[in-house]
Amino acid sequence: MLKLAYVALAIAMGAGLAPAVAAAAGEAAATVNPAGEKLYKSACIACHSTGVANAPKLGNKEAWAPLIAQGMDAMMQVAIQGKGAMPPRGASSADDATLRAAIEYMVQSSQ
Amino acid sequence: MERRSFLKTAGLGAMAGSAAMAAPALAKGAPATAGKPMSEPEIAKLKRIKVDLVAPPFVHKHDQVVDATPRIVEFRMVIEEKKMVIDSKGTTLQAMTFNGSMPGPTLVVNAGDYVELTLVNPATNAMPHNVDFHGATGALGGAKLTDVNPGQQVTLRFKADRAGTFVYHCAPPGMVPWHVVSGMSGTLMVLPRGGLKDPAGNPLRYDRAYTIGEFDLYIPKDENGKYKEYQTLAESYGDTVEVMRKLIPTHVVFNGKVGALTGDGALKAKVGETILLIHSQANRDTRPHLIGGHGDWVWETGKFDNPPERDLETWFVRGGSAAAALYTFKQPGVYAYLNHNLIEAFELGAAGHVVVEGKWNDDLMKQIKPAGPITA
Repeated sequence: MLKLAYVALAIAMGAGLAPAVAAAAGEAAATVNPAGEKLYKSACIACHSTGVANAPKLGNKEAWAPLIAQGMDAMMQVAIQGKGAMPPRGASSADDATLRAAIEYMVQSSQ
Repeated sequence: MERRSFLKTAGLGAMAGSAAMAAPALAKGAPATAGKPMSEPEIAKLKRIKVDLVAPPFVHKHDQVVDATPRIVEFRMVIEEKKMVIDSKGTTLQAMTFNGSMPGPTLVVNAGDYVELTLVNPATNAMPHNVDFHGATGALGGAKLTDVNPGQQVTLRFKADRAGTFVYHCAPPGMVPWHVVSGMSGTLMVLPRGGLKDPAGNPLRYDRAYTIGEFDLYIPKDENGKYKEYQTLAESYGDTVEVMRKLIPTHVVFNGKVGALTGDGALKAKVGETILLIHSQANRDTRPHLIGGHGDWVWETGKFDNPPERDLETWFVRGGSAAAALYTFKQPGVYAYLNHNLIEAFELGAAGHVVVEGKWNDDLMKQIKPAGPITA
């Protein structure tokens, strides 16, 4: 029911294909890969919502600023290899693209 | 400071604890304080015992009665995260365990002993863990002093100065309920140094002890109503929390799986034997009952310096506690031991069996006429 409504809304707006096209186009400004938020909400959230074992909390600008300053490559390295209590790939089975999207989601929510 | 003034008000000196410990009758009115504080050099001189833990439902070998001198009892537990099958349909749980079992092994000491636990979190695990002992005093039950990341171990010592069955569980800040409902709990049993007693002070002894951990599980379903299976522990988190928040478990199981304590896993006993049934539930209330039997002597709140109740049909274990019940079998047969919310027992899984050998007693029960056609 919800799904139908969503599809109907998308068609009505004439934007049914837009998100897929945008994702394929790569890092277009302000484009969000929904897989990032999805991965965050299934796995990363376990620690990053409350700051388990000193994980930088989602939305904590001060905690994230130095990490964001190091850049995406450095954050990806931590996400892939793990660091301290953070397990490799955040203990998920996600691929690099999805991990990157999850980091982008966390960064956007913490700036 | 508060505690000291309370003792004074109650008219008790510093020695009240050790005196109560040696007294045969149950302590009345005084909080448990097994002995005065010991200094590190004094503690260093205490005898050390190393215990090899055994998997539930069994309980490691232990003495029910010991002399007055406290000991340091060493335990080692290894945390194991693993995917477990929790019912006959192949439903899986991304479980977290102490020593690979649900519940974790039962640890037994005597009141006044020191528990010295080494907690190991192997590098193969993904999550940080720790342990909170309800039988311990301070630092969130030890949780604050036992945070271990994968690849680390830690050692905690505490004085087991209160007698009873106490829950222990993992409690990492920010994700406590998930670790508990995923399997990380067990029981610490602190026996009075003189053993168990009835309300009149007469000794109560058991021939064997079994430990049952009841677990309320919250397995997410997909859009087709099928239980979801996850590739990793972390990926099960978000969906699982959604189910937890509804407060309706999908399964309620004894010892990790629907039917774990039936068939080959059934508990065993003989007519004339006294068993101690330890029942822990770290998260949610339950109400144990032995079909065809009773609780001869039950500490449903699990604390042995309180007088036990007798002849109970059903007892009650508060979520976050462990209870102990004694029963001497008088009839042979297959008994069911279950949570007497019968939906939770028979639909969701909270039931096990006790197979008892021995001679039938016609005086206690006899079938006068077998079922047949109605005649009058």
